[in-house]
Amino acid sequence: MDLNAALLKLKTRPVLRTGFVLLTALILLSSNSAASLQLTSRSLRLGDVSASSVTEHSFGFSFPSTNSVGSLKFEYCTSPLPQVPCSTPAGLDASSASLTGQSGETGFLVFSQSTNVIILGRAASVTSTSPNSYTFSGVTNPSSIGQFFARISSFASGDGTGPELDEGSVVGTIAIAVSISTEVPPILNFCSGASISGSCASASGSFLQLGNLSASVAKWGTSQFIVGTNASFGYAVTVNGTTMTSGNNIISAMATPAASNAGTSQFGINLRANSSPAVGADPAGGSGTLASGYDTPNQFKFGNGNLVAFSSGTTDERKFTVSYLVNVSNLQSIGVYNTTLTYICTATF
Amino acid sequence: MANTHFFPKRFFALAATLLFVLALVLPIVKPGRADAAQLTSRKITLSSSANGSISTDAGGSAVSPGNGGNGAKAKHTVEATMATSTSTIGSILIMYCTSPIFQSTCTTPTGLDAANLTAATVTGITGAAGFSLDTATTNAAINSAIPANTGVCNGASSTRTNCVAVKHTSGQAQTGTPTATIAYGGGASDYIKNPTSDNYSFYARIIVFSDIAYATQVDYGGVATSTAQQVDITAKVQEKLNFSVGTTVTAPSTTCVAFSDSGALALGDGNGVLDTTTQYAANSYFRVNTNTSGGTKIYYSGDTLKSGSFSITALTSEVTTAAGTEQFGLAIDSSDTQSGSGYSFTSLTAATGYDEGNGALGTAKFNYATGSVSTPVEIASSTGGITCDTGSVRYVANIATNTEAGIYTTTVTYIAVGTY
Repeated sequence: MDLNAALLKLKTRPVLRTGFVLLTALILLSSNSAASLQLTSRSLRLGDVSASSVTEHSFGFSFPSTNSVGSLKFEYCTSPLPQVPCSTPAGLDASSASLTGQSGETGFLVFSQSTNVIILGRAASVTSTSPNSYTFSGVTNPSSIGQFFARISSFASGDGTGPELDEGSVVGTIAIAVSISTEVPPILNFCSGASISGSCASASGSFLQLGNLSASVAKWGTSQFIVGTNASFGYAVTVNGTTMTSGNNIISAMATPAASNAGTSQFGINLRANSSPAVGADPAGGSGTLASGYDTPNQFKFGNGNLVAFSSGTTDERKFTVSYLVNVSNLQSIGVYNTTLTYICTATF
Repeated sequence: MANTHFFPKRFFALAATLLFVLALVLPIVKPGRADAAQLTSRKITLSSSANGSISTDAGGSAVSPGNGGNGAKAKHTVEATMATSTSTIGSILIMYCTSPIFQSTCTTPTGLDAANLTAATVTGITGAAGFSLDTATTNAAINSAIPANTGVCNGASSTRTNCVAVKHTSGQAQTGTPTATIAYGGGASDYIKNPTSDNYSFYARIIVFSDIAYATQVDYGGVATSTAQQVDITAKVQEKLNFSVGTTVTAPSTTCVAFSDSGALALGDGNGVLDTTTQYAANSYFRVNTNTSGGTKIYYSGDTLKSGSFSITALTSEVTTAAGTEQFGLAIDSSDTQSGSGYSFTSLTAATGYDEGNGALGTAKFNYATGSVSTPVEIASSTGGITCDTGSVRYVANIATNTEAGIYTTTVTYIAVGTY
């Protein structure tokens, strides 16, 4: 097609003619802005990249040369190109943003702001080419996932009017966040045994042989239990069973805490390291409290269903050592005395 | 009678007009010397048609002397085929004027300046190698030697504003009608400056002399040339940062397809439940494509796993993890390649402290900063653009016996910042 034919086509087709005029205007606009230099090292950092969140926007850039700058304009658009009319990214709102930080070229205050434009102004002064940053808080992010742009420009005037000195665009991205969820189940690690060397997996034995009882010498033995739980309101361990019996004969349970007294019928326990007799150990690991009556060295007690240890919250595994004390009098009936004690741990989540 | 009377009147008027026109035309077509002939083929080639004030391109970058965009330091090449056979050539004068007509005054084209020429190269004629730029003969000497209707060379002494003179040490006998090529300029300090206006026609008058004193004209001719408005083409590649985050791997394909899932990630066993005896991990992904020139940084921001007021203790340094201890951390998992759809760092590099998330749990190392909630922490970066990199972030969560029961959640946000 020759030139005449092309021109004739333009004359006869309004759409083409309009397009030609717009293209020409675009070129002219483009050439008009060619005088300004491009800001360098431009960046936009969002405090939160979630759609529609109200967050910080931090702009960074350097001036390409020294200039007397009185104002900076930050304009959010759907295109970074200054030749393209600026359309506000859907959902973006900078009208309530505040300038919360500035470095490099400072002294700026918010001169004016709208939904998508913030103009900072100051008394004009000559800039350096060092990095600058300006942080706005309270900016509402665009409502859609994807890119949006901000055009940054500088002016000699203090109000963002007049010839543009330098300009440059930055891009921000709205993205989804990773929402991680998981569940921690209720946990109660509780075990007992004649001995537990490590964790519950090492619990062993359930039989304590105290030997031949004598009115002149106390007999004792130990067992252990471990409690660990994530119960928010803690745990409670009770001892359940009877005193030692042999048929109808019993060894008296120590209803109140008392020291070992050979020749007296006594059956009691505590959960401390004792010296008289030398038996037992203090609780170790985790957390938890011994119940009154069972918490004093060399003082023993036994009551069916008594609370022996508890906590008010979660605890890592805590090992308790139970010491058993038995004394008999000369009048103690002959027999084989035994008992089975059960420790019950109740956790409250 | 009337016709007879009218005929002579019109005839004489016509004759007078023809004579007048001839009087105007003859001086134009008449050579300087009756025995000189017009060069049969002649042209001048400019290294640049940019006007003489232009030495940079549209982007402001300097254009090398002698190249197409530099009119300030141009090179001109004149070619002329002799009309006179077997002539002798001792010198050649090229005179730049606003008119090619020898009989008209030679006005130097505005802005043209040949004063910075330091050399010229002559080829195509016998003895060509012996010809050189004449920087000795004064303009006054040349102007007095050349035919009066040729014009004048301007400039002080032997500095020539509008002339280029080359000569041999003696006249060189030629064979046939050779084509002489005279080239000059195009260097950083040896150049001719074009006229300083765009779309500006200017001319060179070429005169070939048989002697070396520019006195005896052999052949002559004018050539036209012009500066031209340069076409400055500007296009902008807009800033681009395509960044997406997801928890379900999709192939990047050729277009760096973005992740588009909900970002939900369950951490634990098949039911999303943690255990004190087993370590659990899960991965999320980010994908980035950007044309940054100053690099890109990827940050994460988020708290540790929380359930109401309870939380799972986050790691505070890059360490291996173990079951039974409260731990929450993350790291880049370079082994999670997912057949090309998962981890794929070409331009990005995982940040120190977050770069050992690959391998079996217990040997892989994780890290976390709860302070990232307010100050995002860098997890990967590039120094330039990124065609399409996918990052695989591996999370680990372990609990202790006393970790409170509950549903624990957190939201980790990834932030890409490009510097343009």
